Amino acid sequence: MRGRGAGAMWTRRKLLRAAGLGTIGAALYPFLPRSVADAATGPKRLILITSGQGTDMTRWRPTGSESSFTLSYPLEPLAAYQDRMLVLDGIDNEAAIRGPGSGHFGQGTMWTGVEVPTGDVRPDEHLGWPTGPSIDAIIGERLSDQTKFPAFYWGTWPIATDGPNQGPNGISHYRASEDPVNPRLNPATAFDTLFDGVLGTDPAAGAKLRKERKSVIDLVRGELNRARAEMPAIDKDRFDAHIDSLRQLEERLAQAALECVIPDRPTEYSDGDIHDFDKVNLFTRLQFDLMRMALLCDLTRVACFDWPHSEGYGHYMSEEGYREFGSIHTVAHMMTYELNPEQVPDEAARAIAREDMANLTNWRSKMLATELLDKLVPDVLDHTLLVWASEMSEGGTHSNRNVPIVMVQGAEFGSFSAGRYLRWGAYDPIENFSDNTGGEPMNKLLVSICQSMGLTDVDEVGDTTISTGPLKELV
Amino acid sequence: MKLAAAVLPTVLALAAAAGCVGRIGDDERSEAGGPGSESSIAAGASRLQRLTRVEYQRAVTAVLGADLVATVHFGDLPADGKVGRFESNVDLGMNIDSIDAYRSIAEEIGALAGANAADLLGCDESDACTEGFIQKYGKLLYRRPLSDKEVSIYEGLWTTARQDGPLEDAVRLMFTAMLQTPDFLYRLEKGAPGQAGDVRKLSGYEVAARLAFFLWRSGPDATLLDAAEHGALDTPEGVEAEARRLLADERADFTLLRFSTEWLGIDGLESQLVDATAFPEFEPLRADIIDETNDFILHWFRKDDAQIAKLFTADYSFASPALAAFYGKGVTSSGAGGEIFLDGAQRMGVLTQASFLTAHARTPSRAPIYRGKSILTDVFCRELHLPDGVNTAIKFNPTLPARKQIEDATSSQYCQSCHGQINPLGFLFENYDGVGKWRTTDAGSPVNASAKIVGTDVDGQFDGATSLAQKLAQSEQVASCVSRQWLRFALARTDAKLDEGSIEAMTKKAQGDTRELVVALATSDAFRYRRTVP
Repeated sequence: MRGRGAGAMWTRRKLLRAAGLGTIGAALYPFLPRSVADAATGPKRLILITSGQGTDMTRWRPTGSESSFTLSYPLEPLAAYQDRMLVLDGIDNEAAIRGPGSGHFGQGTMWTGVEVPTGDVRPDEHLGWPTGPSIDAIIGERLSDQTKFPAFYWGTWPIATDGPNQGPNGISHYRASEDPVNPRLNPATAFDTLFDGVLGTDPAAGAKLRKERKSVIDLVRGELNRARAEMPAIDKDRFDAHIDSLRQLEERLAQAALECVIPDRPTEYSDGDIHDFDKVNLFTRLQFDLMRMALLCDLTRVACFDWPHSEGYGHYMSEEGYREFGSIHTVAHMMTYELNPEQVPDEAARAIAREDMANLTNWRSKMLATELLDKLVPDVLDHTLLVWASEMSEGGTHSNRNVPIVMVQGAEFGSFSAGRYLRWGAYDPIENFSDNTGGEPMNKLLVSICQSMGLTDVDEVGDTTISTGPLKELV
Repeated sequence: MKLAAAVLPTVLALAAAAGCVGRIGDDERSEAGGPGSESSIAAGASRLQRLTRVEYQRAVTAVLGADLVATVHFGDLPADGKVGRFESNVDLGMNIDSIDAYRSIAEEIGALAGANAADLLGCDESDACTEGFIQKYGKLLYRRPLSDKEVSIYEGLWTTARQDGPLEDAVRLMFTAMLQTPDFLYRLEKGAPGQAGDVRKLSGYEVAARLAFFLWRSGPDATLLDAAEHGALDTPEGVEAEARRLLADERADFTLLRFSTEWLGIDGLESQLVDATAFPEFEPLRADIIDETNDFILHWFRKDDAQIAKLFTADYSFASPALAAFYGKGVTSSGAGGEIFLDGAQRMGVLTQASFLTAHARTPSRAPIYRGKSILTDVFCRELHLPDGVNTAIKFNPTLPARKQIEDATSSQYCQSCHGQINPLGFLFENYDGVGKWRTTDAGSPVNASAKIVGTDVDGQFDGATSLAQKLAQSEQVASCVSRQWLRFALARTDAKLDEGSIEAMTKKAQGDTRELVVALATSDAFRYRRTVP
């Protein structure tokens, strides 16, 4: 059934059905991108999923041996993918451990491998933005001539680079040093960006739009050059960056119209809902829909998604068939120790918190399985690597050691030896609050991911005093 | 985990030598002037400002009207940065995503303008009509008259659009283009004609833009642009007159609230995570608590005397009945329009409002540290230098009062270089719990809200936050700090040693009156000149 070899294993109708588009899309859009249709040489895709606050580590761990293991309750919904999984137990978010700031700021280090420096971005904690790109940007840059977007970023509230509660504790992806990426929170406008210029029903309108944009960009470039010449030297580098980015945008907009199935624009929410914690479940589904379509249409090969980090609520959990709970932050704290003096969790309260956290992870596993992986067109899935990680092991300890990581490798992805549960060190989230107990640094995993995506020359990511080279055990 | 014991002595030595708490501008920099400069003028260097989201939204709304832009997704504009507590994009460059976001929203707004093309144009599309239209909106969006060349560029765009499209296309494209120009997106400041040195007097139009973005967080209106055109903004007197006009306008209310909430670190209260189990009363009061400070600030500034002292010592505030009940005995009586009168033993001024108290209690047991630090850095303008590699985690025992544990955890000489000043200021707020409710016990023990303040110009032994508030009202350091914060806010940059003259002058001129302070700031050298070298 897998798409290796000659012949279109997937008819257009089947593709559309698999993509959730049914016959309406089939009637309107006759095309699919060549990269999808040509499964034998299908390009590799990478999905990075970030969730904050860790999980209940003791419950998260699979049981059994490296090659023969049983998934725990939090990961059980991914069981259908077990033979393609790598469960990594013992990876340390080392750059966060070395840097200043609490464990939450590990979100800025986990995909970059560099410390969050001191700075003014978060004046209350004296922290700035990480001084290095994240691997999505490193990989995307290398693939940038092949897709419309080197990488694309989705998220659910309240992730943003601005706002008083934000900073490197909430932003996990960086285009470059001190250049944080704001994930797209609004599925409708993310849709507009993604599918803008993708061949629609009215090619003439598309041609007109291109022509108009060219006139406007030409005008704007002229004004930028004039301003650059007139303004004092101190401003010049800002104009240079602007002019260069405009050129990049122009190239993107001028790319040959991509032929693909255009899904419906998501409309089943109001703009205000984007900032409603209680609708994280709705937006997770909408964003996963878009992510699947973006990968199907080969608009990008690096797709990143962030769930709410430290400051989210589990109010929607009851809609998902679980016990409702309030603040994820509180639950994470209650697992381990008290949030504040007024609230002393006894053993029963701790047990409840641990169960809530396990439920949350279980739900997230279920979303990844049923809303993302199951619905990916199989030929895309086969060439995709998904990596799901958290910045801390357990939020209450604020420890960046032994962060929970799950990888799912498509059948044709071929880089790693899958179907394994790998454990390093002997870290105990409760007893070993800070001690190094033999884990492997995240930086090695980052190198492995880069290499798996074809960047075979990349042998180091982030702070090289932490480590160089890949995580050899993955192969 | 963050602090290797072996490095401690070195860090300690450095910290002790440098002192934890510094004054701003200590690391300055080159002298004023330079070739071709206004050499007697001192102003800190300012770099290129890009409009913040709210500035973009308000500027566009002012030009096109709220109805026309009602459906625009301003939330999709590139995110803003901050300099210190204040929103500013001075440190944020452009990348393809931000350019694309500006492109996308300009097209969205352009389409809405295009749909109203005939109404906006208001004439017969003769050459004169079109030219006048381009000049009118060009001036409002560029915040200066377009050059002849620019007019002809837009005429060219118009003509091309009209070759095979309706009027709608021409209007749509004109706005789509104007909104993507550097003149709209940035606050371009090359200086008045003939100014080319390191310190440049700003042109009237540039001053107009500074005034409007400072006081309205929006672009200049036609009156302000006229004043620039007629040279009125070339003199301090002319700037003062316009500053007073803008400040009196209700559009300045937005700025007053923006400044106050950012300065006091309460701008995140709307979304701040508060533990509902420990503080069940907070969530129903969240909006009321935010409203209280807003209502108070506006009344204090507009209807009361706007004295800095009274900001800290006002015996009144504004509260919903539910919030007044939450304050309990802290409220002695209530007046019209939600006004409440305060028992000075429990409440006084803005710092004892639930907004400030909650915002600086994100982890309630650490509230004394957060509150003390806010007083020290936001109200006294002290800069704290957190040495690298410090483990700031405290594992609290909930059965003991937080104060004792903070004292123990920060008792080393090393920690005391900062916490010796932070902690006492915070301990004065011990009578307020994590959401600002009055309390007399903590973890079962009587609250101790007495502390000795050191390192300020109002040092001494105090008991409770209201005793501190009265001293803050008398502090010259605080008055100067308020000036400094307004300058940072107005110029959206950090202050430099070269700004000290402006800060001193405005503090002196204002004599504690915030309205006069704002006007004095607008006429200061730092405001009217631009230093273009670091």
